[in-house]
Amino acid sequence: MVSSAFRHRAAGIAFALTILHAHGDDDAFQRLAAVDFPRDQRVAFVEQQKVRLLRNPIELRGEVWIEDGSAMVMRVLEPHVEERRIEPGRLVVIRPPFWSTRSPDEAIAKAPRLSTALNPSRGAHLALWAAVQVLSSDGAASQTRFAALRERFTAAALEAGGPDAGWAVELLPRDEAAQRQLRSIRLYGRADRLERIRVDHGPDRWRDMRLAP
Amino acid sequence: MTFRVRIAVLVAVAACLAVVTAVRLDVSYDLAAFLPEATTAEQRILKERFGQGPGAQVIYAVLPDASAEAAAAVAARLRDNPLVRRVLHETPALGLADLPAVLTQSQFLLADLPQDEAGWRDVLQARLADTMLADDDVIAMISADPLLAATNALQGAAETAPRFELAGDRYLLIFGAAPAFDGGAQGRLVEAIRADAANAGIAVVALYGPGVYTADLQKAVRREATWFSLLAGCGLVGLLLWRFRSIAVVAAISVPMLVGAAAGALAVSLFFGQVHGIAIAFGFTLLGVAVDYPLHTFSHVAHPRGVWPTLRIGVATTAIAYSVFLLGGSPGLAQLGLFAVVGVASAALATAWMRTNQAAPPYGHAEDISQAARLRNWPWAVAATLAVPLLVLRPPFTDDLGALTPVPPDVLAADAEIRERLGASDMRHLVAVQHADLEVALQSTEAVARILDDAQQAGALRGHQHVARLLPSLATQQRRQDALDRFVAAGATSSGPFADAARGIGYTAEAFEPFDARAAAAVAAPHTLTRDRLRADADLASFVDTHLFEAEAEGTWKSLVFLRGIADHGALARQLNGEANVEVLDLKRASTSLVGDFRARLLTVLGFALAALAALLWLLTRNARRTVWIFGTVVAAIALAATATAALRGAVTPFDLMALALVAGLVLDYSLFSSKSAESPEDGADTRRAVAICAASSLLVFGLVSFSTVPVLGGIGTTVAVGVIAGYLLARLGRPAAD
Repeated sequence: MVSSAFRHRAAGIAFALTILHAHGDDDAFQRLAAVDFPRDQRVAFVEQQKVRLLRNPIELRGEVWIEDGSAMVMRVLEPHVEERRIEPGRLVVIRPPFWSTRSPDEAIAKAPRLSTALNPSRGAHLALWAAVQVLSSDGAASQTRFAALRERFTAAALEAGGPDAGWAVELLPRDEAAQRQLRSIRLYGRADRLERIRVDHGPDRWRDMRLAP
Repeated sequence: MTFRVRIAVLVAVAACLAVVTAVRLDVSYDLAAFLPEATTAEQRILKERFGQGPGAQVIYAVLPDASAEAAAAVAARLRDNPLVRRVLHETPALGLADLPAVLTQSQFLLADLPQDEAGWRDVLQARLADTMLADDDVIAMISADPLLAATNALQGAAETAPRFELAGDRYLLIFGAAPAFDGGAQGRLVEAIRADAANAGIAVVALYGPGVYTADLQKAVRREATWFSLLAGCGLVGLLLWRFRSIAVVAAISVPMLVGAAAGALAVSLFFGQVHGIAIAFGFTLLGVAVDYPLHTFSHVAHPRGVWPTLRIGVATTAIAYSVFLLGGSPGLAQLGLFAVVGVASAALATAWMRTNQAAPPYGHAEDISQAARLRNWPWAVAATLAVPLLVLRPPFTDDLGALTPVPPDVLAADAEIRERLGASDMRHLVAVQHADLEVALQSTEAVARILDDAQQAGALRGHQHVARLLPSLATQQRRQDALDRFVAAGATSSGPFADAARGIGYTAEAFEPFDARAAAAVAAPHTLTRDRLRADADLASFVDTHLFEAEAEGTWKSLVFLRGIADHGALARQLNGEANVEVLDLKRASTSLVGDFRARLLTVLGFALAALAALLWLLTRNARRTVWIFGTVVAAIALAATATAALRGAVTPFDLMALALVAGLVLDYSLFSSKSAESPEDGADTRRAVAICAASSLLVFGLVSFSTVPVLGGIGTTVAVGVIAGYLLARLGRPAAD
């Protein structure tokens, strides 16, 4: 039989831990909310990606931008042309034929659009969704976005690596099913600028995206 | 036997007949049973597939301003409901576990293997791009089937929507387990959807789909039947009590009708086995004339001798006229005819037996025609002159199949809009491939699919669904099996074009081991994909049966290709119509021609019924003047009713034409009695009162029905009410009161 005094003490410890945890979350989320990603401007990226089917990581180059304040567009230009649009609630992939000789704009305009629902219980989708929340951060609207982000992730500020090392925040999914496909998302930046997103899906499966200054 | 005992006996007989009928009765609601025999391929497909195309069993739920989470919660609750087969709240992402075993076992029969390194490079690069957005289960699927043959075949067969949210609204696609015309099950499903949405905090849900309309219709009919029956019952009882001042007489007047209805329903169930719901409903309508028989009888208590000869003529002519429906050319019309003829005859017999002890004349007694009544021809002549040319010059008939559906036009328009918005299959155009040999039918379907693929690539079409994606022809399967044998013999994934392409892209040597193992197994134990194997899976069976079926009567296999988002139907039809065994169908055109044939058949039946009525009238009365007067009055009343229906409701539907048959029966009754020579001034006054009470009771009932919100019922009510007014006034004006 558990004594009443013990139950009270345990409840007190749990409450204190919750407050501490919430406090840690707050700092990290505030850091992410302060990210100022350029509006209506394409930012070049280089992404290393590793899946277990590949011998070595593959490198993708392209541009990323925010459209209409809520959609993230990733246009891959090398090694093939492809556009991924992460819109509210759905993921649209536009993939021209690999042999297409058209310019990227033209090829994408002509290519079929494959649309699927953005399913946050799938790890790959959840990572894309989280990236949209951070990159489209914008003042008042961010409050709602970060409330949604808090519902799905816990956040922690990581140890900075020196005076010029900037900041790092780690997001961990709360949902157990999502944890099996998404270990962590680490975001690195300096002041209000986001520089790098590293997503770990599991052994031998990760992606590391660096944004141009 | 006293009068009251006879009534009790008749009620008992009616109850027994009703019980026997209820035990035997198997009611169907297939509207196709009422349509005439199909004469073209389009019409045949329309009749065979009536309400069975893709989307016929889907309910579209619109959740305004709902979040993705709320929509997912409603979908999750609905998935636990046994009335629901499947719910989609988003485009399903397929994993290995979602693929039916029959498809994964047959993956090499479902897609062509690339022949060279360049072909494999394109495929493997596409899969590499896929893996970048995928979880482990999808990566495993790619390892086992880099062509995604099974996945693509299944996705091609799945009914889904290009998007599930638009302008803040979210959409659910709900596939019911019960047939769309099962009103009870659909009603429960609609209630469940609304309750689950309310539990998820969504107050307003808009639902569209045949099942919803069936449920709404059943609810509306039940609600209106209750209110109209109550109002009409109270009104009728009040009217009859005012006229006869006896509760027993009022009760007795309803008995012949009950006997007629029970006998009619029993006769139909004995002769036809399955009874069509519309035959029963319209049979009751036509039987409305039978309530006049006891009304006349009880109105002539003081002068019974003069009633029965006239009544016999009325019964005989009505029964003969209705019997023409037996030759109407469709099982539904034949059922309607049998119900009406047996019902009218039984009601008349019950009326006669009920009043036998009240000095009914011997059977052979005929009307006294020595003193013919004075009749005026100008009322019906003027009415016919006004109405008939209007009908001839501007025929008010509609051949729109939509006119036969009980669903209100605004709901149909909303349904069409939601289907368009969600990119559902075009319900109007489809391609039919037909051949006596299943293999040839499948090969022709593949040829059509190739043309449609090109059209889709060129933007002339948004999509198409056909069975050959899941069930390739045997020739295609053999060709793919041969290609697989060569692929494995050449080293499968470990050497040759595949290995070169995979190595060039950077895949590990083990990446496609599961694919390799499956290829080796398929070569070691080759099999054939058959229709029966696919139909063993419940979900695939529904797709296969909708898209491929055997028309046993014609001895042909029919493969239907459903189309989505056609940009230019004419161009597509020109491309496809040259193909062997292929026809591009326009179901709108087919339905219009089919309903046109139905309407023509009904008009012919009505014409023959009127001709039979005129001939019989002359035979039974041997009075040409009276026959012309009665016939003229009936025709004029029908013409006025048709004209008024067209003016009030926009057009005359085939169901309105059936209502005109009742108008003919009722007006025949009024004019027959109005033209009867009176035995005495009192007899004449009784007859006028009897005709007036018959007309008033019919007007009361059908006048109320004309207010029905169910279009078909409202149309019938209007037609009959106008016909009753016209017929009564013409008969009254045509017979001077002094007579």
